[in-house]
Amino acid sequence: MIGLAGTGTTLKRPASRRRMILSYLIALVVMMLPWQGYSLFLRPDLVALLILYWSLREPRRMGGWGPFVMGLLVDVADGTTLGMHSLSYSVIFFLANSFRVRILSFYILHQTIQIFLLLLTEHLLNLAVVWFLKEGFPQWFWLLQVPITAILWPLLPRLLERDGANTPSTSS
Amino acid sequence: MGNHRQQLFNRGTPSWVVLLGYGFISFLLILVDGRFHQIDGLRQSLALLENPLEQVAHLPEAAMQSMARAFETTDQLRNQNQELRRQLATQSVQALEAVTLSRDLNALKDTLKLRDQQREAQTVTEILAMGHNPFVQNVLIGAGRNSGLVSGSPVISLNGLLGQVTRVNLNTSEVALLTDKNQSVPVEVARNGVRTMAFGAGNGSLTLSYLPAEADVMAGDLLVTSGIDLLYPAGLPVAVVKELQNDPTSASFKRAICLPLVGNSDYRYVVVLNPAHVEADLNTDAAHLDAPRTAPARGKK
Repeated sequence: MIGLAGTGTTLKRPASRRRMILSYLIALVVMMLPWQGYSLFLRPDLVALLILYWSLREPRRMGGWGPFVMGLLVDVADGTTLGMHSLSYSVIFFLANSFRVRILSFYILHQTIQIFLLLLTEHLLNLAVVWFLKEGFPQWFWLLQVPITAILWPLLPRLLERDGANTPSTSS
Repeated sequence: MGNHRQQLFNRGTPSWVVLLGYGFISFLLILVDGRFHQIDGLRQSLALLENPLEQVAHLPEAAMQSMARAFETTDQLRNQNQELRRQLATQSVQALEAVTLSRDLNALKDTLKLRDQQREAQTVTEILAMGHNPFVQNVLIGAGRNSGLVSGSPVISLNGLLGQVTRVNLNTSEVALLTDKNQSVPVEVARNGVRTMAFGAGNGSLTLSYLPAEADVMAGDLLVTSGIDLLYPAGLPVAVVKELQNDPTSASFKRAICLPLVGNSDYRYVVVLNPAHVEADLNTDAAHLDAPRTAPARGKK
């Protein structure tokens, strides 16, 4: 299975703006589900994952305002300090843009590792903001969100591409 | 997606400029919201936008609850009914006693010309959800500015003090639990009136730090609010001392680990009170209206 291919043989049709917005809304709703207590530590950060996905897939459709606004919405939904997620999302958006060609040249497993590192960056940035504001740190297993989000990466093309399940396998 | 070279050169604004711009705005927001709490307007309008999504997200839980209610058996309901009647009986006796006591107390206070601290429950509401913010221990309650809540109000539940309203939205409010790291509450030991401060430890317990080594605090002591902060009314049960530890930094101090009386999941309905200083202002204002004095009403504080 090849996830997102930049140099692969498949040519993908551009994603419609409607599909992108719909996916973001669904991701927001999933993040708003009543995760609480320990299940909150297992909550995947789907919005961050989608920001990475769409910025790699549609670099010209995703302006810098997208991550920023989504960050604000997540901040409001979670009750975190306004600007915390918009900062971290903007940074990973920038990183994904800078390393786009490199990330796309990997096959799915290696791509997932790169995505893992980007998501880890995002979480550490949030921690940095918390430290800066002198709020309380969460328990360490809050970072479990990162691998849990990252392992969803290979599934994304299947969920988001109309012909995702039929993409010819070139990785093996 | 075929020709990459062309895309790379036709990007418009370089992405590091975009990052700088949005990063800077985000940083300003963090400063303004995190340090000065001055941007609740923006948060509330965004929350209003998100409200439909929020409702969709709460649908599964609501469906589960109504299912559970449908399967409640007559037996369960009867048992619950009996239990409630029993509670009502005991509490009505207590209420009668309280009436006599408060009459006596008022008479005493009148003679002593003390400020009348009689308080009324402001709002009864229920807990909607646990907070999603992993950095703060909070819950969401179902009353907001529409019900006249103000930030800082103490919130109590059946067993005692739950926490404090930290952010008021239109129809919901966030309540920081006592155990949150940024929360502290002045308490006294119910047994002997020793006064101290209880700080949230951030892990579900409270800590009494810097207790003098000879302070008379024992495991099992009940802590109640002392009311000296003009925020929490006096006498609300807060926590029970679980164990005493030696302060690692100094031999002349010890500290106590306490467990809050309000557990993490055994409450559903809560009562929001007016902060004591608001109440006091109301009283002084009323007194001010009744008999104009030269001193300003707030001058005493």
